[in-house]
Amino acid sequence: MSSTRATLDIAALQLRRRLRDRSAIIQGILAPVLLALIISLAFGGGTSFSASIAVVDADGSAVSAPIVAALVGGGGDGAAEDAGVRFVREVDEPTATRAIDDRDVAAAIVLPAGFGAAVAAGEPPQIRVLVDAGAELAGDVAEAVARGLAARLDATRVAVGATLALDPSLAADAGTVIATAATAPTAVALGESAFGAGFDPVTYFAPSMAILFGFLTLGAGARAVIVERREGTLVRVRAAPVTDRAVLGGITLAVLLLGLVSFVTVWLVTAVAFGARWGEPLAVFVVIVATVLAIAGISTLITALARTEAQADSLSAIVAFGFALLGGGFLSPGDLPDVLAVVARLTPNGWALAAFAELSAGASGLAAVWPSVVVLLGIGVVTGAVGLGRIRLGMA
Amino acid sequence: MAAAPVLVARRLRKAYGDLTAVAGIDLTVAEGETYGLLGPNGAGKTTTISMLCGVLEPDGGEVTVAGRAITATDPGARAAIGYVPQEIALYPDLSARENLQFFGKLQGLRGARLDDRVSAVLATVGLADRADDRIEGYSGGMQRRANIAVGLLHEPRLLVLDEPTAGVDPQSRNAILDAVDALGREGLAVLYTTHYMEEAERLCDRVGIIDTGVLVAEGTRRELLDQLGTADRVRVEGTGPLDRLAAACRALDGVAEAAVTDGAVDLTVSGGRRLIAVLVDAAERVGVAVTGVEVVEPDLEAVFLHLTGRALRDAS
Repeated sequence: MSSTRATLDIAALQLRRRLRDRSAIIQGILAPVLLALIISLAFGGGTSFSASIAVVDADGSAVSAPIVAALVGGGGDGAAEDAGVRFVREVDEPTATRAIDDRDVAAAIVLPAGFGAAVAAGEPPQIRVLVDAGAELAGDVAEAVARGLAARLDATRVAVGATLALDPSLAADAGTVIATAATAPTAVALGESAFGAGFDPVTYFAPSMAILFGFLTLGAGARAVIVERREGTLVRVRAAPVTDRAVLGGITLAVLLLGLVSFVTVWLVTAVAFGARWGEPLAVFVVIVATVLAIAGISTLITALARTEAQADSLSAIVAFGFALLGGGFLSPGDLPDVLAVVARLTPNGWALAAFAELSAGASGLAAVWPSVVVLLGIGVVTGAVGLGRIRLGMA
Repeated sequence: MAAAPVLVARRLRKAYGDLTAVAGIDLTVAEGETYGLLGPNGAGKTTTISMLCGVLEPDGGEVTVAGRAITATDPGARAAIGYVPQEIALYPDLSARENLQFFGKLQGLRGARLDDRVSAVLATVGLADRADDRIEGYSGGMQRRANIAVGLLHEPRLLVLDEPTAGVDPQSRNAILDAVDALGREGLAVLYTTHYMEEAERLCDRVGIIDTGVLVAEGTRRELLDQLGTADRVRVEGTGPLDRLAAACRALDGVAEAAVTDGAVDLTVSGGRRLIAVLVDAAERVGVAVTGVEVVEPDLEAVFLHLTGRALRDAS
C-alpha cells in the first residue's frame, strides 16, 4: 500500500485514540483556557488594564501648570485613555501619598517646587514618581510618563537654547516656550508602550498557557512510539507492508494536527468568549503553526532521548514548566526582570510570546513577527529532525 | 509431489552485543504444513520469527516468503505474512472491529472487501457477537483470539504464531489449537512457536527444536522420536535429595539422561521396566522416599532432554 495512505491511516488512529480518552481535549483546550483566565484574574482582576495616576504641581509655575493641565485634561493623542490610564490632579505630595495608600490611585507624578526655575535655567528638571508597591504595572506606566516628559523637556531645552543663541531677545520667555513644547510628551511615552491598546491579561496568558499545555499534549502524542512499543502494537504495525518512515510520519502528523487544533481552539475560544485581542488572523495563524512545530520538534526529541515512558513524562514536564518559567509564561511582560527578558529568548516560549504580544499590540502582518517565526520554525525543524533520526522503532 | 515451500530461511543470524540470539538457522515451511518451533523461553524463537516477519533486521542470512525476499527496503513482501505476536498486540481502547479495520487498512484492504474480511475473521475466531466491545473488556482468551484474527485478516500465505496460547485458560487454549489445526488443513503454511511440547505434538506436521539460538533437531514427530533409539522414559517421583538421586542414576548402566523436574527425576533409559528395581534401590541408598515410578512413552520432551541434557520445563 502507498506510504501516504499508511501515514494517514496511522495519523487517524492516533487522533481517534487521543480524542477518545479526552486527555487531549482537557490538556490541549480546557486547561489552557481555564488557567489563562485564572492567571488573568490574579494579575488584572479582569480582562483589561486600568489605573489612575495622580499628578501634583508643587511648583505652581508657568512652566509646570501647562504640563499638569495637559496630562489631567487628556492632552496629547489620547493614548493614555486608550491604555486605560487616567490622570487626576492632587494638591500636594502628602495628599497624593495618602491617595496611593488608600488605593485611590496607583502612582503619582510630582513636579516639585523649583521645577520651572530649573527648566528656565537650562538645568535638568527633577520629576518624582511615587508608586504603590502592589501595582507594579501602573508604576511602570507612571515612570514611563515621567521619563518621556523629562526627555522631551531636555530635547526642547536644547532646541530652545540653539534658538536663543540666534535671538537673545527671546530669553525672557524661554521657560514658557519649553513648557509649551513639552506638553505633548505623555503621548510619546505611552505610544512606545508594548501595549499600545492596553494590556489585556487574557490576550497574553492564553497563548502562554496554550504553549505550556501544548508541551504536555504534544509530548503525550509523541510518546505514542514508546506506548505502542510497550503495548506490542508497534511490532504488529511494522509487520504490515508499510515503511518505518510511514509509521513515524503518521505519528508526527497526528502530533502536529493535535497541537494545531488545540492552539487554534484556544485562540477562538478566548477571542470570542473572553474578548482576547490576538491581532491580525493570518499572522496569528502563522505564529501558531511555527509554535506548534517548535513544540512538536522538541517533544519528538524528548521521546527519542527517553528510554522509558516514565522518563519521557518527567522530561516533558520539566521542559514544559522550565520553558514556561524562563520564557516569561507566568509573568506579565512589565514584570519580567531584565535577566529573564534575555533568557526568555533562549526558549521557544519567549519567541512565541514576543510575537503574540507584538500582534496583540496592533503590529500588522508577518513583517512584524517574521524573526520569531523563523526562529520557531528553526527550532522545530532541527529538534524534530534530530529526534526522528534517533528514534528506533525496532526491538530494544 | 511435495507442496511448494512458502517460507524459506537460510543461515539466519542475530546477535545482541556478545549474546548470540540466533546462530545460523535454516528452515522451510511448505504450503499446508504446520511447522512447530519448540524450545524454552530465551531459546531464540521470538528473535527468529521477528526476522522471518521482517520486523527485525538479521545480522546475516536471508528469508523469502512466497518467493519474495523479506528485506527492510521491500515492505510489500510482508503482505504474504500474517503475524501474531506473543503479546496481545491490539489497541485496548478500541473495539475488535476497529482494531481489525485499522490493521486491515495497513494491509491494503478497503471498503466492502475490508468489511467482509473483518466479519469473516470475527466469525472464524468466534467473536462476532462481541465485535464492537472494547478489547480491554475481553477475557484473556478472547483477547488471544482477537489477536489471531488480525493475522488472518488479509488471507496471508504464511501464518506466524508466536506462543499464541501463553497465559490462557484450557478452554480457550483448546479453541485456539482447533482453529490453528483447521487453518493448516485448509492449506495455509503455519509457523507455530511454543514451549509446550503437547501443542507441538498435537498440531505440527514437523517440529524444529531450538535451544540457545541453534536448531538442534528437525523432523516429523516420528523422526525426532527415532533419535532416542530404543530408549524409554522413566519418571521416579519421591521426596528427599532428588539431585543426589539424579546423579546416582547417571552412574547406572542403561541410564542415558537424568534430570530433576517438578518433584521427580526424569530418566532416559534402555530397558525401562528391567531397571525399575535398580532405580528404586538407588533411591533408597541416597535417602529418597519413592512415591511412584512411571514408565512413559517417549515424546518430544524426551527428545529435548536427549538433545540438550535439560528438561524442556526446566529450561523454560
